[in-house]
Amino acid sequence: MQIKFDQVSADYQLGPIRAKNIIDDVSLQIAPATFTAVIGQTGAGKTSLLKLINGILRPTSGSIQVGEFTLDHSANKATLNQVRSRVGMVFQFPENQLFAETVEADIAFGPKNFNFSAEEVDQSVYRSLERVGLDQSLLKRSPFSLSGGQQRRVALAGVLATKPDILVLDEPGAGLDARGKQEIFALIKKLNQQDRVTVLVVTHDMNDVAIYADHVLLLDQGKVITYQETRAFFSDQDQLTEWNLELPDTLHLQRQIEQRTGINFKQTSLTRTELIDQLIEEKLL
Amino acid sequence: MKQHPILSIKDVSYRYDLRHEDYALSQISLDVKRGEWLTVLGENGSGKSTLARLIVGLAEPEFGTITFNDQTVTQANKSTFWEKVGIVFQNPDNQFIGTTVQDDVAFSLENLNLSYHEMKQRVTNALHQVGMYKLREKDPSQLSGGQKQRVAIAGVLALEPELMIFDEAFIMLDPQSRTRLLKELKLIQKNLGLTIISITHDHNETVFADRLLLLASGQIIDQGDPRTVFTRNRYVQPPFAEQFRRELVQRGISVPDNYMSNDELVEWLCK
Ligand SMILES: Nc1ncnc2c1ncn2[C@@H]1O[C@H](COP(=O)(O)OP(=O)(O)OP(=O)(O)O)[C@@H](O)[C@H]1O
Ligand SMILES: Nc1ncnc2c1ncn2[C@@H]1O[C@H](COP(=O)(O)OP(=O)(O)OP(=O)(O)O)[C@@H](O)[C@H]1O
Ligand SMILES: [Mg+2]
Ligand SMILES: [Mg+2]
Repeated sequence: MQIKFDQVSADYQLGPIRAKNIIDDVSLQIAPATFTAVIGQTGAGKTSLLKLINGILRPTSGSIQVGEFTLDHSANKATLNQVRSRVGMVFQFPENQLFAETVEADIAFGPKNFNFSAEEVDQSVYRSLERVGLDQSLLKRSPFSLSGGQQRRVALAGVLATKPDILVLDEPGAGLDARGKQEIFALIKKLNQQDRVTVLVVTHDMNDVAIYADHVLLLDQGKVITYQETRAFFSDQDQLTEWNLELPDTLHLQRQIEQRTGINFKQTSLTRTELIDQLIEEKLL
Repeated sequence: MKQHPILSIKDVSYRYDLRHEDYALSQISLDVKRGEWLTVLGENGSGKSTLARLIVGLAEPEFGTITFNDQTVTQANKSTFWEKVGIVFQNPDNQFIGTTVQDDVAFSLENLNLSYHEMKQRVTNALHQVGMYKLREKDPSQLSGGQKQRVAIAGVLALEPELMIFDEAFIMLDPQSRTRLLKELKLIQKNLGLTIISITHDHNETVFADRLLLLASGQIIDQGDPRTVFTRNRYVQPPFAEQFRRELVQRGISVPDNYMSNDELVEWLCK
């Protein structure tokens, strides 16, 4: 599904004093089946942007096109529900999303709510549990009796179980162990490539951006600073410096080597494999 | 004379449910030296947060004892330690009390009998340290995720305890802020002898640690300086430079056989 922002501004309405807009005149077109990393400093508006796509936050002006639906200031409940059944959102502290008495009931809630048949509900619960790397023995446990990382996996499973066309994930790797994080990102990438799910991921980890995303969306104070393809984004060193962004580990290493040796590599390496290939090409290995 | 450890954990076992045999922690023994930075690693569910809860007396060991400055920590006497041990939990939402950011940070100091001036000073400093001074009048519940985490960290900084425990407290910070804060903590540790226990999944944070502790299924499976631990435990994700070195090995390139820091790797590649 495509997502299109048309001059969207949004705010958390709090009394008569209106602060500067949290999302400020954003126009943006996100193509179907793309994988966008949403980055920016604390408070830039990343979470708010995701909430707009899911209809949790309403625009004060402008509109958002999500597939065939339009979200604007006056969008009705039916539209919101339909959008939410297509857009799966995992929150920044997803454990706050958990509510049911058992893990099983928690994961089943979404599919039931969206009128899956009993059989489909069961299937999707087991399948998503497995996908997020949790053992079936946890199904009858209370989600609140799990560790932080286990809770996050349950929240993610609950969202995957609804088979969304768009996935918006707020720091899905945070709090997961290295293996878990890698598995989750590989899974998201697979959904993106095989099932053509449109993915937006908020992350602070530039390595995730470099390895998984095909586009980067940089926000600052509610405005879009840039929306670019990943390699182009990381190739422009002057821009990165100006935006004060940390480099992915691989690229950081490449830049250190370039500086020390005075050689300029042909390509911006986004993965370790790419960097090793270039080191060989430059006869440094 | 050998200095007494600030924290001493002896044969500690703990389970959440006495009806079941699964222990969240079993037979943990550990001394933490004053002024040490201990980083705790382990997969999801390995017992890291449980250990933190026990240290601050939110739960009590079923077996074994925990002593802080030679005094046993129990659920009943945990308030004795509140000004000496500061903790930032995994989820900052569980931690807010005040209605503004600055009240919330000040709240942790309320019982310290500080002068108004000193209290204000500490709150201001802490808010500056985490970059939240500008937002000091805001309601904590209306902050972004990273802002909440900063406020929670400021609360502990302002307290100036002897031991700070961070349970994945930096994950929602942007990388620059995270690195800046870690460096600042390192300075406080070095200059003022602060003791730090940091629980994390971030392999790059381990470079700040004096010692790593590796938990698996509620047991300590290894500990030591980062170099040693990453060399001995191949399945634990090491800092990037070492990951890269291992990938070189896999590609059949002859590389020194030892753990490499970032500087060592760059040096070697540019030789
Ligand atoms: N409140 C609770 N009731 C029952 N069991 C619990 C509770 N909290 C944690 N556990 C269990 O105890 C074990 C250790 O959990 P703990 O929270 O200490 O893990 P952790 O190492 O902090 O994991 P994470 O990296 O996911 O935060 C896990 O198996 C978990 O399911
Ligand atoms: N519920 C709320 N009420 C009022 N203001 C809010 C609320 N949630 C967020 N804000 C403010 O809106 C701005 C953008 O917040 P948002 O949560 O979108 O940031 P973010 O980019 O996700 O940051 P982080 O990386 O810290 O999670 C921040 O200045 C924040 O203080
Ligand atoms: Mg956020
Ligand atoms: Mg934990």
